[in-house]
Amino acid sequence: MRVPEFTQSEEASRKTFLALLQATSLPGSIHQLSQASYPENFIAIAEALIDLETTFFSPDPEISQALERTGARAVDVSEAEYQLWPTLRQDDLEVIKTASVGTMVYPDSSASLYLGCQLEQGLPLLLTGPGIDGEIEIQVAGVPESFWIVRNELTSYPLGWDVFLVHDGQVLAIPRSTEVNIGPRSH
Amino acid sequence: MQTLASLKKSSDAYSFGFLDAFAKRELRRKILKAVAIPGYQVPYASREMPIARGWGTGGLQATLALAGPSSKVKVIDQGSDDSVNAANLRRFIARMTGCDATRDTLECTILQSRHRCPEERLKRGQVLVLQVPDPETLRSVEPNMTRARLMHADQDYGLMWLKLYEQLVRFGRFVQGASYPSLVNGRYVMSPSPIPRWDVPTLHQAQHLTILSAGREKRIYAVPPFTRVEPLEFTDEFFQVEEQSDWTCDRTGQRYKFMNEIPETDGTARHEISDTGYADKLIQKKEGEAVTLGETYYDDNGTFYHDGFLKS
Amino acid sequence: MYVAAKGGEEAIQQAERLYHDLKGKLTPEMVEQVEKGMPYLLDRIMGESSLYAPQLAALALAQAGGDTYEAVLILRAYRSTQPRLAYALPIDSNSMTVVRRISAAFKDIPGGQILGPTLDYSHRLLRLDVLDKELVAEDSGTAELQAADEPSPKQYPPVTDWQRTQKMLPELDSIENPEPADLPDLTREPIMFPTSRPHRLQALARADTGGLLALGYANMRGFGPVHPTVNEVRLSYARVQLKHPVTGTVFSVGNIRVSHAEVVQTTKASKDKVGLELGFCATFGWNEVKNIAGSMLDLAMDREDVHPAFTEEFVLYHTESVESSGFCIHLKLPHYVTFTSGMDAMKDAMMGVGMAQMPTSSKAFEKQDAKSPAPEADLETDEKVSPITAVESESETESEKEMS
Repeated sequence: MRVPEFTQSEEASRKTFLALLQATSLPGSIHQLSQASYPENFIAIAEALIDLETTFFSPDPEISQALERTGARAVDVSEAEYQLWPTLRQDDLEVIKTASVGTMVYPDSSASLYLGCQLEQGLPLLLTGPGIDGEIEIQVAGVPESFWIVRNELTSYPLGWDVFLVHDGQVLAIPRSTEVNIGPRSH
Repeated sequence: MQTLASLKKSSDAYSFGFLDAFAKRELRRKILKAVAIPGYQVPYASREMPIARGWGTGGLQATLALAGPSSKVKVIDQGSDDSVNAANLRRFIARMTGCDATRDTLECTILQSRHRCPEERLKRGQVLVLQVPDPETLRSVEPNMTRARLMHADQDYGLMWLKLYEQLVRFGRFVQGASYPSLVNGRYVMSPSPIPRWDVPTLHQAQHLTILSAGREKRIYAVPPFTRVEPLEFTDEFFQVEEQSDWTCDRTGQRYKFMNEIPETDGTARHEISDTGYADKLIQKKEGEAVTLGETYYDDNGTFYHDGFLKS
Repeated sequence: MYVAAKGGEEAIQQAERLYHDLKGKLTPEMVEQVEKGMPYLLDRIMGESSLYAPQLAALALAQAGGDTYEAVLILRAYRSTQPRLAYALPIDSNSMTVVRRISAAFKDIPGGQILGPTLDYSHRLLRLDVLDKELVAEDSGTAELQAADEPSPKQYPPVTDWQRTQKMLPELDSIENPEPADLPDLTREPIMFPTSRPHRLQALARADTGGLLALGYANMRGFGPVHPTVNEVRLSYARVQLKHPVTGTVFSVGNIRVSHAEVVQTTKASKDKVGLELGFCATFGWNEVKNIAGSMLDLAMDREDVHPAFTEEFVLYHTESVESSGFCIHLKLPHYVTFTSGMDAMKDAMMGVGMAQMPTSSKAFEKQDAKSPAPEADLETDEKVSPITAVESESETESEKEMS
């Protein structure tokens, strides 16, 4: 019997998934997606994870359209399991606040937020928690500082969002298990 | 001209990795959730696989969600690469993904295992996939899964502590053998799968990612690298690994590795290192072959590599 | 050897070949014969596999040498590789072509009792005459089937319709144009409790026939709350229809054999709810015993304070044929690591307290003493014996003595 064909879409999905997996396993570390620029990077993430069994939200019409082709259902922020925000503005915070943090019985029902940003510049964040050997400092630009305040307020482990920061072809994860201290390492 | 027959796929044309795109996406979504909530059992669909339920279908699905043609996969059962079930799973994974198989823990990218962790330390980037028969560590105190789920939600582990306390009272020690209940990231008590107690500490503050997958019971959970995995113990009564300090491996002459006990007809027993990949390398090295032995979790004096983690 | 050194892969290949060698060759003719000659067996397999495909079921059975659990596993594994191309339209049970429908609740029912094909009233005599080839050629023992004077109607009103008009049963919630894609699908998501109605009925439909029977029987025999009356048992042909993805035209893709049972029991659950309670089970193929047992359990699972064996979680988990059979036979796999680990944990306890006295709490705090009788002194006499082995044999003898 032949080995089944490793199609291009299989290969891209696998590469994207492995990047997300490594990123979630090692919060704060940067991993390479299968696509290097907007909007293909977000669409690649969608194709790896989203289909007609999931719900999504994206304010971006181009991404939204691509997502609808997967058969996934477009729903409000408060209901969407997968949310793709290529740009998150200060004004969006009121609505993103309503994204699900899951329930104590099913904490996995919470939202996963994929946010566009610039990594290795801007606001310093100090991360600790599972997957981090001690602590790690990262820098993020393009995400409102108050998002992190909201994120920390709403996170009550195991409840919380799994946040993925997407910068062109790079991804970095901050799952709910990560403690985020805003500001640089204090010495 | 196109006919219906010409449009039909060959009837033995399977998707890459056997699982179709929907099944893979679902598994991948659930694996990410599992890693984000260490030790929490994420329900997943768990498709039927062409091997029997209870024979590693959970581990197999996790491995197939991860593996590609460039992967190097090692499969062990009871520590042995040559166990018939391990051989069967390895054959299937290779047949469905075209990946390479290896027996060397240091070389593999994915290590799928039933009932054992390797003796050599896994590194960052490697994934250990453990086959799980029963994901619910509370089952011995609460067989109803719905109620057990609520207990996890409430972090209500009183019955578990009581069970351990009763063991101390009755038997003078913890009599839990394999599947030793362990607290992950200070939040969820999980079953580390039926690995011996010897292996449980190797999940603590590890370099590698561990994915635990129960196919029949349809639950997947994970231990990320650098995560606390603490076997339940009291402040004055400690978790203990198996006492095999007087056993010497018949094949390699080594001590302080997890051993199989093999009864002899005269009533005695001999012992062999359970991790056959490691034992084979020890023998090869003795015979002058160029093999690389990795650092082990327990050194030649039986001391665990995280100082002070195992108390006595 | 069980864990053959380096020989594992070769060994399993040879073992499989030996199995097929002893079973006989798998040929298209054999598959055809199974398909033609074993419709009820195929029905059972197709129901448990959630895959209606008589030819594939026959192939799976022939390939497995008639091992039904093996056949269901093969079909389920095949099913899980098949993409979902479309959703069939919902089938109104009133539109099915009924070949058999009986009710035990009434002497006669609107539309009449239709006996249809059944062995219920046959004498179960082994047809040894069939083995006598000469006789068979002349007379197979079955008289010719006589056609009825006039064809019977294809559809029959359900007994529940009449009961609803009599207010014995509550009205059904009417669902206008249910969207099949919105229905929860047990093959795409895990079962969680309490279940949704679709999940429960799907789980019953694909449950192990023998498993449902055992629990249904235990329930009606006295360990459960339900000893119902069969409201209706039906064997039917259902037409499966699809909507063309482009033109939207509805077209038929063929008929399948389906069956269902409804059982009723007078309500005793609460005083403010008097009337009948209905239990339901349906499955692919014609499988009456499964439907009757399943519909009984459907009723029992709704009861509060029910015997643990008839709760939803108990019934639906433990009658899952692939999971239950797979886990049962997994005990054949080596377990020596867990065995070693378990023995190690027991050793100190056995050594110190002694098996016979272990469970008594009066010995509870002898732990300090328990650890003290170290066996080292004995061991020095025989260097070949490992300490643990010596301890084991010693403690076994001790406990044997104490127990005798």
